[in-house]
Amino acid sequence: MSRVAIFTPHVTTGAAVSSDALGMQKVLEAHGHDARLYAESWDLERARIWSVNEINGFLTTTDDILIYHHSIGWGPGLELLLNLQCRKVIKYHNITPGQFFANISPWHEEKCHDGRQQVRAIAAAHCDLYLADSDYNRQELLTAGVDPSQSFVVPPFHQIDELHDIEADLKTLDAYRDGQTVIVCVGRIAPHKGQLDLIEAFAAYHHDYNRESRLLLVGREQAAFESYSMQLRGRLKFFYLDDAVVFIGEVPDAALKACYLLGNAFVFAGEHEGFCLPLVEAMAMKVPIVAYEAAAIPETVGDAGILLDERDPYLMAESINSVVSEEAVNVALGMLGRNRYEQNFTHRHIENKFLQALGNLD
Amino acid sequence: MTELSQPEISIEELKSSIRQAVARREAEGRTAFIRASAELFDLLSADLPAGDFSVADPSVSSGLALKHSEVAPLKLQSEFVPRSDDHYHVNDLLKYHDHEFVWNAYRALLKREPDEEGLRSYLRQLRSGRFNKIDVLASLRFSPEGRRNKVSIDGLRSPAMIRSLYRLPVIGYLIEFAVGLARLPSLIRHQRQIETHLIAQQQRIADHINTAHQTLSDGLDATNRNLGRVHEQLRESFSQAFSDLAAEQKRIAHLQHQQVAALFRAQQKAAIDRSSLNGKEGDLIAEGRLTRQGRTARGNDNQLELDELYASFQNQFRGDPEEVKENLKVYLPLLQESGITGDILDVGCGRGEWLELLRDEGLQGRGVETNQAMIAHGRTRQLEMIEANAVVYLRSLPENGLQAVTAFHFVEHIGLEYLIALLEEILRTLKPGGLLILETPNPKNLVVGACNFYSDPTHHKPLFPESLQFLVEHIGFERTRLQYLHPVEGSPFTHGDEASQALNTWFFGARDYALIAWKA
Repeated sequence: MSRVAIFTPHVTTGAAVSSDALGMQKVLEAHGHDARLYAESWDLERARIWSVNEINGFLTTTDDILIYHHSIGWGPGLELLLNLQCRKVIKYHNITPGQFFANISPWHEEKCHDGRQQVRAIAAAHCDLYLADSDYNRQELLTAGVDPSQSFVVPPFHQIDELHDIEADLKTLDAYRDGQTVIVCVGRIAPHKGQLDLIEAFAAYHHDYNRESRLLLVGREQAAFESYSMQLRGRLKFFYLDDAVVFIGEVPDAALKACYLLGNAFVFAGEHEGFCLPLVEAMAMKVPIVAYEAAAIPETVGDAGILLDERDPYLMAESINSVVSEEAVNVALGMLGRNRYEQNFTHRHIENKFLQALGNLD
Repeated sequence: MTELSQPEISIEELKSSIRQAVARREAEGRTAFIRASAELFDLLSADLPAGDFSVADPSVSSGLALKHSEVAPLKLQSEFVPRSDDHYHVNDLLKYHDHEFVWNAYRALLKREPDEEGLRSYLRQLRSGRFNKIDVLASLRFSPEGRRNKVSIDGLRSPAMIRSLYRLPVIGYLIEFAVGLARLPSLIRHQRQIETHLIAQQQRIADHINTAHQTLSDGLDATNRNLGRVHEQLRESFSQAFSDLAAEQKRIAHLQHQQVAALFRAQQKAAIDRSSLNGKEGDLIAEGRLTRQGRTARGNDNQLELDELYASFQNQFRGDPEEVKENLKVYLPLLQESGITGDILDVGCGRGEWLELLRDEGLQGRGVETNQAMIAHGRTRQLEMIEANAVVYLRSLPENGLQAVTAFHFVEHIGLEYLIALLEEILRTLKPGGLLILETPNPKNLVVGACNFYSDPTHHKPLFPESLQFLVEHIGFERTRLQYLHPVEGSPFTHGDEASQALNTWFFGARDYALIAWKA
């Protein structure tokens, strides 16, 4: 039994990094370790989270383990990582390049820029183990100078099993089950998530293929990206899509499940993803995927969805049309997705990969 | 887990049929609407550098005019220049053809332009073959008008004479035949020369047309470019006008806001003045934070006793000053990140632990406090403490002057109206980008919410974290966040199951929380 401190700046609901950190803690506890989650701040009420200031009192011997989740520029975290005398594991979630936030959020632009700079410092810190959500992320670590023999791909833990077990929210189901085709996209409203391009593609689909269609954008809108949100709404008006696109916002799991159940297709136009958990959720829920090829997306979806190598609204619209209107295609893609989930991304698979990777510590 | 069979579908085939469908649609022109709309949208919404654009830019208007074609008019025959000495050789005129020839012959021999009648008649004769050029020249030269002009023309007389012999009956024909026969080789040579000449002329015509075409299309391109530039400048000046308008609206809104805020402050001040005039303690004062001015001479001694009581109470319940200081260190990185170097005001600074910590870090801070006993204590440690009601003190400060305002375990002592007045004053006095930190007990920890909170009899009521956050955002702060602090040590509920987690949160969760916010 070891003492393990899992360490991330902020814990919140609906964020992939937080899900991963919480998932790790559960697995380690189940295997008899004293695993605690440390953060600078959190807004979860139903989980025991410890303040960063208390970490020194917990990791006292060189046998103790620190798992540091790197997902944003965080000076104090990096300093602590460098100073602690214990075994160190990095989990790299990738960091969006700052330029996506230029003229939108200077804070994010700076923090993301810093975070990407810090990858080199983290690589140079010679930690014992470097885990990455995807091979895409792993390659970035290797470029930064990490030894390939110390670096492993471990997909992030998620709550998809819970999603399967709960009942879908009836109100959401009733609100949108009116015979219209439903296109779903899950992900917070942010410039690198490509909602601008998505709206363009949906405009082509809605106006030129199927007027009886609706796009549900599920995900948090942040005050910091207000100008991007305004831009999106401006574009909706411009394309006469006010009534056809719904900003659902951040929703509880039951409503999220309802959105997946409603979806005739899951469409994603993101430009920078280190893994993209919603794609795995869509596969698990048998919703056919149409997305642009970018960053780790091809690796996550594999051959279980339509990935487009050119960012073209009509290419995406035509793909949506073929997925939605041809039932055989729809069912087949749904099954391919489900199979891919079963074979690669269940909790058991991730747990095995995680423990196997940690086995390299000894 | 259910095993699913692998469906038979080829993603590659599907993608290729999708591509074909798009290509077909494209070929039929059915992708134009969204593409054009997207382009137009980008064009209209593109961020433009600020600048003074004017459509009346002279470079634009001059650039607009299509320059005159640089291709000279095509002349297949060289220019005829009349001689001043009136002396020509017949070949000088014979090298012209048709219309040019008649025209030049008139100018040379009759020294005038041809009259309509004459020109038409000669051309008809020439084109029918009844006359050749020699006939025309002779007819003009030897007409009464030609004789009067006396222009000398070499080499005309003998051929003209011979040609006049042709007009003799019978014999004329024979003479013409004999002369024709004799001139046949030279005629054939002429024929070849004319052929070559004609081909060369054709080539010149073709060249000329090509040059003209090239020049015209260059001109057209230039015109298109110019139109594009005009369009661009129009768009830019429109965008500029729009953004100017937006800025102006924002400015007006800001002014209005300031006016409303000033009115509100005046109203509040009037209310306070009125209540102190009446000798009654107004709403604000009833919150337990008395102004010096509001105190009556009679009440002063009592107040001092009360202050001393609360100070000793604090020593008992708030905790050891060193421990408090240690806990407050969590906020230091926040100051560093926000680049705060001084001008920090601690509202309700109490015993001054935070002020001491700031001093240790080399940061300049001062506190405002009403408890005389605590102020006296703080001053013995050379801490800058101002004895005043917080809102009254803040009102005395200028706008945009403070880098940070902090209040640790203060807001739970005051009522809602006072809290709103306080937040508004803080927002006014903070610099843009300035930081606000409010720390207060966390009622979501049930032990805190139900019991410990009431250990301090001067506590007003617990503040629910999200409500406080809402209030602060509503007042106008930006980027607010909640930070939960000081969880209870030694929880027996450490298992990961739902029930343990819930119990842990309710009973061993964070005892305090901080609301952190920035001024835009």
